[in-house]
Amino acid sequence: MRRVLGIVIVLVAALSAYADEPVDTLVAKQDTLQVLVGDSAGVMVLADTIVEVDAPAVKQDTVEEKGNILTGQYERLKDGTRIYADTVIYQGMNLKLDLATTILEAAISKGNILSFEAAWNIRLKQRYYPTLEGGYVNAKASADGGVQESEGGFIRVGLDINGLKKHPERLNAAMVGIRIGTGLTNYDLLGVELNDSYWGKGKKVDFMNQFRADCWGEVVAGCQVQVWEGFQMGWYVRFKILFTRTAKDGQVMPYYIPGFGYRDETNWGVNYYIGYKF
Amino acid sequence: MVLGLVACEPDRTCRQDTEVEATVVLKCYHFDTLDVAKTEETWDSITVQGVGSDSVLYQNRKGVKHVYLPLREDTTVTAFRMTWQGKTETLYIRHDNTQRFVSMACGCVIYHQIEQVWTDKVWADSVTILNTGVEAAEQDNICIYATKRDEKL
Repeated sequence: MRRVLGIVIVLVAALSAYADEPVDTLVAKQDTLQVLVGDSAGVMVLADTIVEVDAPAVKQDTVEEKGNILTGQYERLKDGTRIYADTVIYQGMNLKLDLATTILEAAISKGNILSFEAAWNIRLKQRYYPTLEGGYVNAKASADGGVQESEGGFIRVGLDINGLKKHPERLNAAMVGIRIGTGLTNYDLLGVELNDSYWGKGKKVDFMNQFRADCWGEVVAGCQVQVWEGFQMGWYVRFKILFTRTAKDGQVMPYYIPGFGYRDETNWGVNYYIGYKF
Repeated sequence: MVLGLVACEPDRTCRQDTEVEATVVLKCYHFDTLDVAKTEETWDSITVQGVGSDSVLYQNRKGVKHVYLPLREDTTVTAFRMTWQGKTETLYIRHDNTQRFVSMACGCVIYHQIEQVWTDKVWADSVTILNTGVEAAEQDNICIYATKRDEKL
């Protein structure tokens, strides 16, 4: 009798402890408890049997729906929040629109560069964010040697890792990651100077209907913060390294590369995103 | 900081040497009044002008060891009038041209491959090609051989 009473007391204490835990530990559907019981002499020992306890994920009156998305079990609270266990692989996706590049590039170039960029990522195990980014750029970029008029697109793929502690409800993330990007450019180079100062003073040439694909890598750091009802915002800083630095003999290269910026061995970039979590 | 990162762009002004010229050197056998020869590799005075151009490249320049000649990009034969010791020689250079894009700041340069050289043989005994490639890296391309004799007393 004392043995049974001991088990009951420990179980009640364990369940009470679970009830006081933050929600992120409540999502465990089933936990295994080893129970201490008092023996006939009143000494506490480990129980002979393992007791399995179904721990409630959340208070039942707050749960509106249970289900799975692709691979993951989730529970939807009445406020719309989906809660995943950290063992669930797929935990939602985010679609984001970049404002910084669009506004700053247009402002700094006085309207000569129009750039639009969007990003999509998915949340895996509350830690990993495979990411796809893409955009379109229409640029008129000039230097002493000529003017480039171009339009093109770019794609970057990569992976971010969230450095914050895993949490099923809190979707904020502080991330570092890598990208590999490619930019495709259709361009004209106009008024390119021929350095023939003796014979052809001031002579210029045009290169029309040129096409080039460039490739680069990036190291990124940034964050993603939930602001209201699935809406989020965040920023990234990017350090870019151009891989395609040379051209075949005589081939011209674009001065401005979509998604990379002005042609140089390295470059920096900044994004400010607004997005929505699905 | 954000503006600085996004505005990051390379230099709009070209800061590299874009002159591409053929380098001509002289090898002159100078016989003195006793007919003793010594080799000279410096023009004591030289005037050079491109045929078809109003500009003079070298005007009675003293102590010149190398003469740098810009080749035409719009044709495959470039000629230069070279006045030395009061006589005018014409140097002809046949070459092909390759346009190379350097950068948006620097524009294009024209590289050449020298195929043939010859002169009117007024004061030059002969002319040879040392290196066919006329590119950014400076190297001796053409050698003119000449003879100079001091008048005997």
